[in-house]
Amino acid sequence: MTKPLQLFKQLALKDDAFCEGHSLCPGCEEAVTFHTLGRATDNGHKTVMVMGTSCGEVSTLMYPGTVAWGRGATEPEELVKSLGVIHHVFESAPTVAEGVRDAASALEELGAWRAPAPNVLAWSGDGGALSIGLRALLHTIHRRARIAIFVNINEVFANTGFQYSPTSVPYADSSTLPGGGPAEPIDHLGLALTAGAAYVAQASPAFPPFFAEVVSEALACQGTAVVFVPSPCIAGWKFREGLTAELGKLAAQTGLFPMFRKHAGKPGEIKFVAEKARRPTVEGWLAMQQRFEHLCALDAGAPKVKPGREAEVAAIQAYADHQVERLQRWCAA
Amino acid sequence: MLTALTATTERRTSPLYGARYEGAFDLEALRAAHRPAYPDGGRVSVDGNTAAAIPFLQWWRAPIAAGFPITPATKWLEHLAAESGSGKFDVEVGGARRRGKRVKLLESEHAAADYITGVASACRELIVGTATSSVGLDHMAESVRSLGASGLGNVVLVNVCRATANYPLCIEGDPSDHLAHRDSGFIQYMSRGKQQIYDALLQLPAVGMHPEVLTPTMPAYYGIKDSHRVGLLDVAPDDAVNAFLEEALRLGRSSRRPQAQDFLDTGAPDPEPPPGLLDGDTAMGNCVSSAFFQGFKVAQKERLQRALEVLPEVAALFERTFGRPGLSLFERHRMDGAKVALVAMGSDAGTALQLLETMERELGARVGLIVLRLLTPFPSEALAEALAGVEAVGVVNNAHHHGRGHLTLDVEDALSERGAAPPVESFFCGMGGADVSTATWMEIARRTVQAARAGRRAARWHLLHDGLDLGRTGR
Repeated sequence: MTKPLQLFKQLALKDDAFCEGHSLCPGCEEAVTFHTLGRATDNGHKTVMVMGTSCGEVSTLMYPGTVAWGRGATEPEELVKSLGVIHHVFESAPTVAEGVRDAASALEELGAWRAPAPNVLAWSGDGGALSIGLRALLHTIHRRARIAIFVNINEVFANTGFQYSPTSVPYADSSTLPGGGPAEPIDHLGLALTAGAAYVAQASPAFPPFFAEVVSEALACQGTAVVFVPSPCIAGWKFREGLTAELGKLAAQTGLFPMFRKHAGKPGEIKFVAEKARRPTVEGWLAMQQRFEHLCALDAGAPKVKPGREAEVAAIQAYADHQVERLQRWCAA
Repeated sequence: MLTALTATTERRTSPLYGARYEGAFDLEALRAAHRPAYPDGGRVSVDGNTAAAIPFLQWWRAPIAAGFPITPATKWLEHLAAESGSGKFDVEVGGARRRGKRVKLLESEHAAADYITGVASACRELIVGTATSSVGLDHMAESVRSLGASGLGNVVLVNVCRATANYPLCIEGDPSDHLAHRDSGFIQYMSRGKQQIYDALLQLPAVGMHPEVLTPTMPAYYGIKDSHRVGLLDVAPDDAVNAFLEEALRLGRSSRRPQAQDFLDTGAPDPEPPPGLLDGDTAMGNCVSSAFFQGFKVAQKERLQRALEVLPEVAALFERTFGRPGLSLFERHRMDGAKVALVAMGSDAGTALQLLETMERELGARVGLIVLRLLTPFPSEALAEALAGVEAVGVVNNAHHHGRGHLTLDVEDALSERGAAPPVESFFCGMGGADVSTATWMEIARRTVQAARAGRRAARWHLLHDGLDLGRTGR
């Protein structure tokens, strides 16, 4: 079996299907995710990508600007290098992708498609998949559609201007919930597992070899693969340039959004989360983002909790600890 | 076991759509894998939903259908599910037993519309359908309105008309669901009776998939009155159904007019048909700014309007092939020399048809009847021509409307194109599937003849039930 680092290096040599012309924010982690998907799908299979409305969609499919999808400067000669991309409505990327897969399977089984079975990917934001589209997500998983679903989690409805999302960390300031609220994020990993996914992972490009490995496993999965991609949002979280990867790492290491993967029926694994005593606490992560400035800020380079806000910060820490324990239970389930 | 197709596909690039890989689909193999539902055709006794389901079993281009149950459309899905699972469409391909027909059960109507979008966009050579009704159509509205603009003419959405909006809930037929979607972008086509339902289905994909039309179709019929009543239906043999469709599709392919400029407002006409997601290097459903949006809408409207010309061509081929009437813009009965005309639609028009001679005898004026079939694009010009010379028009509406009635507005609009327009009396009746009795039709005719004699309409609208005015006449 190829080791993650080797795989990551091999991937760098592939033909990328994500190219110039996108208008994502400079430093946005989604671009790194898209490059990884763009390279991992250069695997000898034709690729179809279905996008729900999201900033990932509006930033890459703008007409008449260059569509940021496609392998090479011109349309590739070979069918298996080609990419078909469709944007439909906000909440339905998994269901549209399921239709694409079923069409491909029917044609293949009836002798009308003889190329290798295509890669079929669905892309949604956390709002698209876990708020307005939770029904579509869970039922497509429930039907065991053979597709790879990628859900970008940036904890806000970024495309509409950074409103509260069911993945928002408690007390995160947002335009529709100023100062945030006590609700803990929805258990998206547990929902995907119990709905019947064959493969569920949470992976961030902040851990490149692990991310490359998860993407490859998702594409190779014969059932429904669901990959949640926690992704710091520069404009929504309001942080200083250059901190994207650092925030992505800390979100995992604190336990707020741990790296995780599980094949159905096998023990799961949590990655890059140290035991409690050596695990970073949440203050450092909070202090780097303006959306938590009412709770915590950097004081001479060190995070300092604002007087009177200790309870909220403790609640966020309790959520992080609770999330790791919950995932440990899912690993064993 | 996988054999790369790279050697047998040929890339065809296009400035509009990217690239299409010719040879990616082996449609001949798909055709050969079809097991006929009705090898010899024949006369059967069926309800309307079954009549609308049979074409999906007969077309080799339709290996997949999808749905979610809703009264009164459910039988369409049940019939397809039972037949698809019966084993009679199973086929051996490459040494394995395969299911020739698949029915996908979704968790909601919205999902059904999303799912058929995926199938239709993956392979634009397939025909994919679903059936729904009432709040089901409303539930899928977001996706339906997107489909209407998508260029996916291979989508067939059967709508079994039923009253909409709860408060109060009513499961019987009226076209308020259908008429609320007049601006959703589909080619909407109304039928009455089993034969019309079946024959319309056989022809509509050839209109929708025409390269200058590329617009999904929405065949419809009234719930309960047509969906649930059983009648005789002549089913054509599968071979004839499929041969007709292929010939009708070729009408578009040999067209000398420039191709519809799908998704673009400028640029040279594209000689290539648009690719699907599987056989193309292409993007669909892009995002545009205001500077470009209207161009797309102009193209969408032009494609829809082109259906007015393509539909009669397909209909003529159908008539030559099967010897039965093909698609028509509308039916016309006793219109020659008519003093007044009634304009109606749906199942109840059959009652009016039986009464036209009685009306002339009792009212002393010849009454003609026009039964609307094509609703969008509305055949304004042809209708105005058909109504030229009548002294009054009575328009019958079966759906709630804020004003004089959906059909009344369209008829008035058509008449206004011709200058001096006759008075138009507007009637509401049959809402929620209420009986439109002989007495009601006679009263409609009487008031329309009266308007002709007076030279003006008596009221903005009338609401009738069993011949009685419910006393809420609009002023």
